Amino acid sequence: MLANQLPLPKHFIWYALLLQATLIGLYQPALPVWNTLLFILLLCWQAWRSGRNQGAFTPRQVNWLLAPMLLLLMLQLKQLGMLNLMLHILLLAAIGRNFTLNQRKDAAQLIWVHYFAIACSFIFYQQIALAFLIASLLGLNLYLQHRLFAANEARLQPRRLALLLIITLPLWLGLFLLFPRLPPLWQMPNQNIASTGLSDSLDPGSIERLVQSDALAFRVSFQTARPAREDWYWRAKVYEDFDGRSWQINTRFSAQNRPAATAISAAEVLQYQLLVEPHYQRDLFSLGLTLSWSDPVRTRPAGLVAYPNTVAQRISYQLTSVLQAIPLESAAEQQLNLRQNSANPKTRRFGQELAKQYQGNSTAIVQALAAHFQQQSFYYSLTPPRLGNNAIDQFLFESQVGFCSHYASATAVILRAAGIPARVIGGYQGGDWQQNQQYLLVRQRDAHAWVEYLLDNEWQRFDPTAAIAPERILAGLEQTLSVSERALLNGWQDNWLGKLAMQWSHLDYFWSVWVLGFNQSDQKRLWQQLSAWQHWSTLLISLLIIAVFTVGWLLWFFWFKHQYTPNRLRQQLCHALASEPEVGVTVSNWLQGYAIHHPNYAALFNELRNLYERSVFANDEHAAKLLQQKIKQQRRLLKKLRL
Amino acid sequence: MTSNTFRRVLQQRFERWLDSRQPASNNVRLGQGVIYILPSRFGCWFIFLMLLLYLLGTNYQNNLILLTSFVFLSTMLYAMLSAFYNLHQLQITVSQDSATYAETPATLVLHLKKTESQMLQIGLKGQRLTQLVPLLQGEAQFDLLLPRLNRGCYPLPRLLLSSHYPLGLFRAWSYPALNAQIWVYPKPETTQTALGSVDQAAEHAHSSASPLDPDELKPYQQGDSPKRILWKKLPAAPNQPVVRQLSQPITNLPEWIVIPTLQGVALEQALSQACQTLITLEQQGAVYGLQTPLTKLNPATGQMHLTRCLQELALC
Repeated sequence: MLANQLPLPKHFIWYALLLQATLIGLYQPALPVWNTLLFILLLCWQAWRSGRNQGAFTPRQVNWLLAPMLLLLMLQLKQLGMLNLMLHILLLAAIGRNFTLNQRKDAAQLIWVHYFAIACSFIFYQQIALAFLIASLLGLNLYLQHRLFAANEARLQPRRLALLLIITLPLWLGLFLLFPRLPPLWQMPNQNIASTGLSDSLDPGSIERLVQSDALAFRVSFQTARPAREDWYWRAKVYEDFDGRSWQINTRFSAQNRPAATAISAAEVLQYQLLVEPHYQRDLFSLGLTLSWSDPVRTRPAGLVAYPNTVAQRISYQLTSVLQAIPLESAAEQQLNLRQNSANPKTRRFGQELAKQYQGNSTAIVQALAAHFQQQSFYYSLTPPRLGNNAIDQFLFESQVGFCSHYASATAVILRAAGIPARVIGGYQGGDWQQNQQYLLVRQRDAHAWVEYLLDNEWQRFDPTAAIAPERILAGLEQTLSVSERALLNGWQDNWLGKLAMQWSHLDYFWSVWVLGFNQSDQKRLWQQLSAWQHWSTLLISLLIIAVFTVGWLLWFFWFKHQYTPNRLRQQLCHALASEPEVGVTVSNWLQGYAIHHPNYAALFNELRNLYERSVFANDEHAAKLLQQKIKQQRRLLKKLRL
Repeated sequence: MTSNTFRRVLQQRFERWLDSRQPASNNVRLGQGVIYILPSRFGCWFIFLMLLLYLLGTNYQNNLILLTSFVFLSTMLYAMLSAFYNLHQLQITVSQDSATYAETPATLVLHLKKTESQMLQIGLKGQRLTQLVPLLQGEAQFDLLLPRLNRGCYPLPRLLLSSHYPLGLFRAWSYPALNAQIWVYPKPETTQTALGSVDQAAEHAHSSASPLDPDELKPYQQGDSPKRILWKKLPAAPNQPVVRQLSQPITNLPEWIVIPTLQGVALEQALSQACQTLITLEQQGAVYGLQTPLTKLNPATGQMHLTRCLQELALC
């Protein structure tokens, strides 16, 4: 057979089609319906053609086929975004290559595109199950590649596969753990997916949607002692601009890099790691005043931390904080949080009255406000009535039913009217502590809003919701709600399916921490731990000694084995008899001399001579082996005999 | 021009280096020192893929993509080892020279031995044509196709043995040199004149024998000269022509085939005729000798003698 006339391996095209169909499925987050249909149509056409054994198209024909489609995709650039367009082109390249599959060379190119396309789907999916599916697709592609370059008749041997695993596993594991990680080199295009996290504006009513979502927001593991539940206020956003109805984020937050905080009081230092689910925003979560942070994380004004780009996939970062009030950054910040709006006249009057009553004493005013919320018939509810134009007035003096954003929003407006700088903080409060796995699980329904007011140049936290429904803070949301409202939260967690899902979630957590969350700082720590290990020198020296002995033994073994057989046998005989034949005497004669000299052992020596001659002159390996055995057996006797 | 010369010089250097490293022998076992291995073109693309994935994984800070690129790297290393072991300890034995007549393609029989080897490509160094051994398990015989050559005796050029197994990422190859000759004998010419001359000579020498002696008649066999058919006897048995046999005394006397000192086309023609004559004589079991301008082979008979005579013709 000539080498350049090999046909494609059997069923190659079918495997490729299967792989591409799965890819189309995996790319669903990036594919509009019409494009999906188009790709499926192309796949079906190719499957039909292969079923009828129709030959490949010429590259020219395929170019004519694909060029309009490429143009079509380019036109969609605006809706798709760069990343999706790239994925589309990858898919199109893979599917188009099918039509020209002729030689193994073409098939190799197809394999290459497949690898890239499959690996790209990790951008969307990092959950454990899907990650394994994608890995198995990579494996299938590897198998196809092997089929291209192996004999058709040969079967894949399990022994070889095991060898592949044994050889490669330590390699890639080591590379993964120790190979240098770099920060992102440039900004990559991201998915255009609607955010599910906190929005940039706080309009009482927008949290209701979040509250019902059981989806994971982030997970936290504490390296130091875990703080009390009352202190689990995860700050993410600061709302300072109020337009009478909704709160917005001030533009100063687009600026980055606040100098590191220096104030350390006696408060306890917290070290913790967060694992954040993608929420397509930059804001990250922190407790109290952040002192230091792991690398990609940036800091922002008002003690917030943020990611350099939008969080489009699960990330993890490390923080060190103290549970301490955030210091005032500038006089401008103070002015910013005193601004008032002409809306809600009743509320503002109420605030001014409070200021007069307590002579502007912030602490007293806040306490009075908390008492007011407790004594009046305020209720906590997930389904408050719709509010009109003067929303705060209506809430405070008419409906008196609402959830955290209502209370926070109203409190901030009252405090500002009373001349106390105040702002609304958005984030998460609480979470479920997983006792067995030792981590805190924060869900989207733990989203919360509270207030910070200025006291002695420090921003003190005040949570009005705690006043109205303290259980909300201490026990989580479920306890504060009525039975029907509790049903609003997804209520299937108690049955066995729910428990199974919980176990799966734990598995997913460890997968996230150890595989997905492994980052530069973890790597740095690993290196430090490795270099700090004290027994390195002992290990190295013992390894060296073992290596020297092994090499020496191997050298001796090969030298001995490859020695010329007659010399080796002669040497062994001389060693056994503790003498040497004189110059000019052959080994045979020498042995014969022994036989004559020791008539008692003549039979033994004649046998030795016979074996020696057979092994040397007839190249009889069996005889050589027998001779060696004989020498070994009669070692003691031979040593005694002298000529 | 200069680049060509330079390349030729390099090529010669390389050949000399190979000769000192791997002298030709009848039995070659590919050891560690004679197997070369480099990434193939596809392997280079694969390296590019790894870099691309590393960049992608870094920029998205995506550990799974990074992990994929590391897995690819380790797979590549495994492929390198595997490609090496696909050739390592392969044993090639050549037991006899290749012999053919001019203008007919020749083959050389090689014996390959290895526990397992896949997708071996075997060809001559510097030739485009390569043959494939898809699967070798244990011992196998392999017919190496040789190009058409002019009359003469050539040493077997170095072989080029390569394989892209198992993933096409690496090409492992070796240049084993085998101790074998390619003999190209003159093309046997089947012209009337060549046969005629022998027959006439034979008949002339034995004209004294009676043509009708019954001992000297035998049934016609394919290959017998039509001139020797006894036409007179044909009507009696039309299906069974009878020919006069060249009887015993003829074979007893040695035939001498003499190649005169000629050159060019005339020499080639004479050699071709002599070649045919030799073959015919051997088929008839005759005793024959050969005399060329260079040497003289004493009369003998048998396949060995024929081979020696033909080799002399090839060397003329």
